[in-house]
Amino acid sequence: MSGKPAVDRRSFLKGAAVTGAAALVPDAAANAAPAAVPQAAPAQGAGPTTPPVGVREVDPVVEVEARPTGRPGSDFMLDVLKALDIEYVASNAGSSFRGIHESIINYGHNQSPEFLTCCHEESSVAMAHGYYKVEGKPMAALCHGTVGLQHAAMAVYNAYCDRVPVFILAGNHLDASERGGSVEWQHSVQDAAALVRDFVKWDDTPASLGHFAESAVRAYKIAMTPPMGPVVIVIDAHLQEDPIAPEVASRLRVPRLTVATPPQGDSGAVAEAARLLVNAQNPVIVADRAARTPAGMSLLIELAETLQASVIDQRGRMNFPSRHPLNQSASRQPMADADVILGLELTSFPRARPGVRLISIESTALYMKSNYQDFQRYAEVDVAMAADAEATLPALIDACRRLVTDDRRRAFGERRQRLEQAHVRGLEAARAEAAYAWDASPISTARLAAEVWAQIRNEDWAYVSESGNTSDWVFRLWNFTQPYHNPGNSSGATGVGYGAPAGVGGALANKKRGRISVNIQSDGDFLYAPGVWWTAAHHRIPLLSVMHNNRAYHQEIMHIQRMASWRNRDITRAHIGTTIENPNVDFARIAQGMGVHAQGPITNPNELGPAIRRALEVVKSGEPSLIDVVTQPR
Amino acid sequence: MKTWMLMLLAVLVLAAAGAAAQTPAQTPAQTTPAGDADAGKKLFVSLGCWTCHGYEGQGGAGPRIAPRPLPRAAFTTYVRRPSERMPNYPERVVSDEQLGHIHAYLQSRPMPRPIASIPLLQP
Repeated sequence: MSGKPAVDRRSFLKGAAVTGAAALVPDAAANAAPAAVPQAAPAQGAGPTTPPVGVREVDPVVEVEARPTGRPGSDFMLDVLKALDIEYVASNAGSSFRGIHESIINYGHNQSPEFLTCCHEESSVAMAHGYYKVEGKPMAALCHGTVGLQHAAMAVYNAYCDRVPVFILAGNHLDASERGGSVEWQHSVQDAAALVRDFVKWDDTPASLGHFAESAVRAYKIAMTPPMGPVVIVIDAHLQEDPIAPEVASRLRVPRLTVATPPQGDSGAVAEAARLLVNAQNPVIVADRAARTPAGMSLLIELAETLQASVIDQRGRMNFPSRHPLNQSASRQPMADADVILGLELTSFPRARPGVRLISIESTALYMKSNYQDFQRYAEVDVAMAADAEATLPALIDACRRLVTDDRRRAFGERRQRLEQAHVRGLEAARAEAAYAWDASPISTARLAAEVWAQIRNEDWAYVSESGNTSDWVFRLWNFTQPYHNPGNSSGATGVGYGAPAGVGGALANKKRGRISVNIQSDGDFLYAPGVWWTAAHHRIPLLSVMHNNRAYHQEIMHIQRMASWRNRDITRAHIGTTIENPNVDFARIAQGMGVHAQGPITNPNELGPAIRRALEVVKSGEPSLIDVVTQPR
Repeated sequence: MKTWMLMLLAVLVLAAAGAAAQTPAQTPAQTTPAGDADAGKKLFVSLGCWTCHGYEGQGGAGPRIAPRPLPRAAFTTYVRRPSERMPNYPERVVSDEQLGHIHAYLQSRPMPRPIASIPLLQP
């Protein structure tokens, strides 16, 4: 803490506020300037000596006269972020958080956390979302509490629905008496977090630095406790910019963080679930967001092999190896034959025949909100455990093992044989199906997936993001064996615009591991906030993006076709408002303009393999690369 | 037609389509198309059939319907009264003759190469 006399933001802003107001009226400004800013001087290297006509926000050029001295509050805020091991802060710069921005880059030397320059707040939060699903710890997103959080809202909702922690810091000017020009008013709000309160797990608006430290640590802990979710801490501009008073500094500390252990299912319920599963003729395990950590996949394999049960991976996380013989995800038969279904952290329990016994283990039962309806239809289950699935699996495996008799073991062996055969038949059928339209142009989605797989299969790879719908060809043809091979799909709020930034965020997490990150990029998703490609180029984030460019919001075409059909109207006009043609978007040129190596549009399937090889070399050199591929619809 | 008869028809047609979809033939398409395949291709695009079935009829959101579509009569019946997921195409939208062109287009699609000849599809 500096011993210099402090001049707080309240004092120096008074002059600036007058100047800002005067600037609204050029004549008044000209008259008032000498009195209001008697010793105004341009900042070093800055241009004009008087505020430019039409400036509406408090202008840093006229604001620098009276400097606050002493250690600013935002330096302590950064100490807290460092204590929480926040590695990156994704942000589109904004004046309501300029204090902490400056602390990050100078006081913190822009290292842990590093400031990631984003072009849209939706990109910031979605990058943080994708990063978490690879790294396993939250990234911070820094934004205006008003316009920034409004931009971010969709991505926040997506993270909420996907049970992903994102640590959001929202700047605000709460004290109206100290606000500057008109923009500072427009960028201020009574209750910033109210905008997203329905779909964040927790929020707070600290009134002091001590309060900030406690709330930041609490927010982190809440975000990381299943069911996980995004949190918001509103950081007041004064709190960031005012010097820390000596009497406050002596009391400041960062509380110790102890992340809560996730809840395990009740022992009685676990025993009942084991009894049902062991005695079932055709048990099916359905997993969505089950594997919370890399250990989750191993545990699920252990349970499935203990029971020799079918596994349907809904792929909210990387739950189960794609070519494990018990993986029956591509088949409808297991669900048709099932007499007991175990659902692990499901978004929605699958419909089952009457009489089928249902077991649910889901942490979302512990925390639910009312307004947004992502909680899905009420499931009438037989055993309901409000618990974390991964934390419950060890006890369930043990309970099942204790109940397995020799008779059951023989039955399990026969079941395993039957499921293995079905699995092999499924793989063969997928390969046979992929051969159709193999040489077609536009390029088939099966060919697209196969061409990418051929180039990465011998690399250390991760499929970090996909957008659009490629008929599951990636999962039908690629061999997913490692927990990091797929961080899980984007089945949060299923809003368009997640794919590209999540891919960039995931690739950032993989960068230090030297892993090849792959993204299948749809055209509609690309167009939401394409500035993220610049972010990828600027921060040298190696990501191989191969486009599934079907030149349409394809699903919406089918919706309109169905509407027209039901209403007995013209079905041929469904392209209006749903296609992205006339002109065709040149995605490669857009990416190139952002500094990303890009190729395409590629329409000849024989040109795709060589293009991927070229792109892969760029990615291996540490840069992003994109290939625009014109594809079949799905 | 009674509802149960429609449902039975739909099941039979879907079963036939499913059986066809699971048997990739390795021989050329069977007969000379009754319709005009070029005209059928234009209709296949303008009517939006490609959105679910792909430009080659290889499938996607909907099932594969080429290069061996249902027999012509069953094909027409199904298009007029499809199962719930597919929009129906009444005669006002597409005539029987035009359906013949589309049928011809689907029949004209090349058979897939033998899988053994495609290195990328080897295990």
